[in-house]
Amino acid sequence: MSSSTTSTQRRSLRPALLAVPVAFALVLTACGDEPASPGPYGGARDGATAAETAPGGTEVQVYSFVAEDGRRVEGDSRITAELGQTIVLEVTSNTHEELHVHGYDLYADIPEGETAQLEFVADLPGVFEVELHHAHAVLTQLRVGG
Amino acid sequence: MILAHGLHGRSDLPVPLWLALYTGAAAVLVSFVVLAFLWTEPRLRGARAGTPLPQLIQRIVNSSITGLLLKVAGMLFLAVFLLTAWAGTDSSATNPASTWFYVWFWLGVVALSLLFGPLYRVANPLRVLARPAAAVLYRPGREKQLEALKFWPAVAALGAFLWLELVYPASDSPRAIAVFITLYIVVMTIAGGYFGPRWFERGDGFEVYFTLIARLSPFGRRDDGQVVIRSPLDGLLAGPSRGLTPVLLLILGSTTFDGVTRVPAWADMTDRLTPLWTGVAGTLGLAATIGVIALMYVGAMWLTRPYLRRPRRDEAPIDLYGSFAHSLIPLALGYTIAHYFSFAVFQGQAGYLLASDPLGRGWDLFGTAGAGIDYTVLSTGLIALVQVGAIIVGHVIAVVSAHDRALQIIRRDYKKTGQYPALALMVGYTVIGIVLVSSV
Repeated sequence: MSSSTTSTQRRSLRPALLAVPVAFALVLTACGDEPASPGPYGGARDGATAAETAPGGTEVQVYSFVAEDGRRVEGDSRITAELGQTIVLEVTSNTHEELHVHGYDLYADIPEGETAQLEFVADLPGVFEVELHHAHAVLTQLRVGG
Repeated sequence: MILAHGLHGRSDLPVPLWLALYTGAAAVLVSFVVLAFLWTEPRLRGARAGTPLPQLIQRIVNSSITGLLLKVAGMLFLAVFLLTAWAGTDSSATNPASTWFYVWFWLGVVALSLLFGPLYRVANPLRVLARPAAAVLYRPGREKQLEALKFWPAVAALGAFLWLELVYPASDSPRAIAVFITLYIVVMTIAGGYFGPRWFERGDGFEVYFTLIARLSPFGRRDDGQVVIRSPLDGLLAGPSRGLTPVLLLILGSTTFDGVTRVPAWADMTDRLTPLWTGVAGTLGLAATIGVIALMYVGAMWLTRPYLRRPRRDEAPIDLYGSFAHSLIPLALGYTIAHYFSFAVFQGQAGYLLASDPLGRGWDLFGTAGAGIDYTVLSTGLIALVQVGAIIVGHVIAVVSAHDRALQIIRRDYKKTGQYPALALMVGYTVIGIVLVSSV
């Protein structure tokens, strides 16, 4: 994603139905997005308005996961991203879950049987755990190259 | 599926391969240089070495007020920590007790000991608590029994702590920590009362560990009681060596195991396990790693044995297995810095951010509520440099100190050959350390 959009559109978080293609979802949510819920340290990282495809048309990387009873049944145990890349975590769960990206301190609520999407710019280098909070389980590990 | 690591929300990227290779090569090279060009007669003087500090500083260090202040600080920290761990929330994300324990105490006191020497021995709040217990329990002469236990009580205490930290699936839970520390206090107070204050030098794992690290400090006490500034190489020799090897192998092995758990292959292996089996796998993994590290040591000592000189007249037999224990201290510290440096700087911030509302009542004592950990204070390049730097500096100190020790215990006609096993051991440990930080 080009740098022009990364500074203002940092993080967004939208429970959305899986059926909606990501690109379409991006447009849809542009008009009304709920802010990211505060992190454990009070939400230093601002929730942002909807992200959109960068003017340059850079691809947004989408990683999809399916969790059953708090365990990952589909998706990779490790995902990697370039520093500054916009990524979307798309998680379907058969139980009510809370998705938590450590370090970035982003949260998304996943209602029972539904899919949540969490979109953000991977602007912190390091290895971060992505957790299903209610199950206290690691969903995947996000590696952001420095 | 593996459980969340709790406090370890962010961990380091692998050290770049080229940097790892250079570091490994440097470690081997340094070892050869030490063997070929360093002094050929034992030169280190241990507790006899050092330049006394100015009288004013000595007076301050020795004053009872300084001791009292340190004890008050230790007691205050313990009291606030215990209250917070028991009465606050049961989440490390909102309760600062977990960060205080694993970062401020376990890592922070390492830094303080390295900089200022064995302060923890003075500040140790458990020594204060054991004093009234001693009035009831202590009988003179128990020191002999204690002597016979060597450092095994400390090994048990540290082992329990390390299992909690590295294996227990909910290690970051403030309540789990509260239970552990409360039990620890009870056991240490009773044992400290029974055996007298010397118990803490052998049984309190934390004090034993911090005191070992303090040997690397530029400040210490000379055998004539003067407070001196001295080379860490001499400092390493200032203190007992017999019986310490298991303590150091435990520390080295557990830090290695922490590295192993960050390697993707470990995560892949434990990925699908239930919490119970994660705990079992962790326990076995921890034991196996310590076992490998210990076997390497035993193997190297076994190969050194044929080169040992005869004890001089009136000299006790040479304690081969304890001989190189002190050389493991810088290696263990290097590993610790490589594994926990960025964690301490990042997660350590949560200790004061969360202190604003320690009990989860919605307070904002210090105005830090709502602030987040600043992950930009260290660049990944700097982290990688500190990691390999710590490992290589630890290696150099270890090798030089082992060299000097080898000259004391090895037959004169095998001065060089007799050092090969110990040197190879150090290189082996260092290579393991480098491989682990570059393959996370």
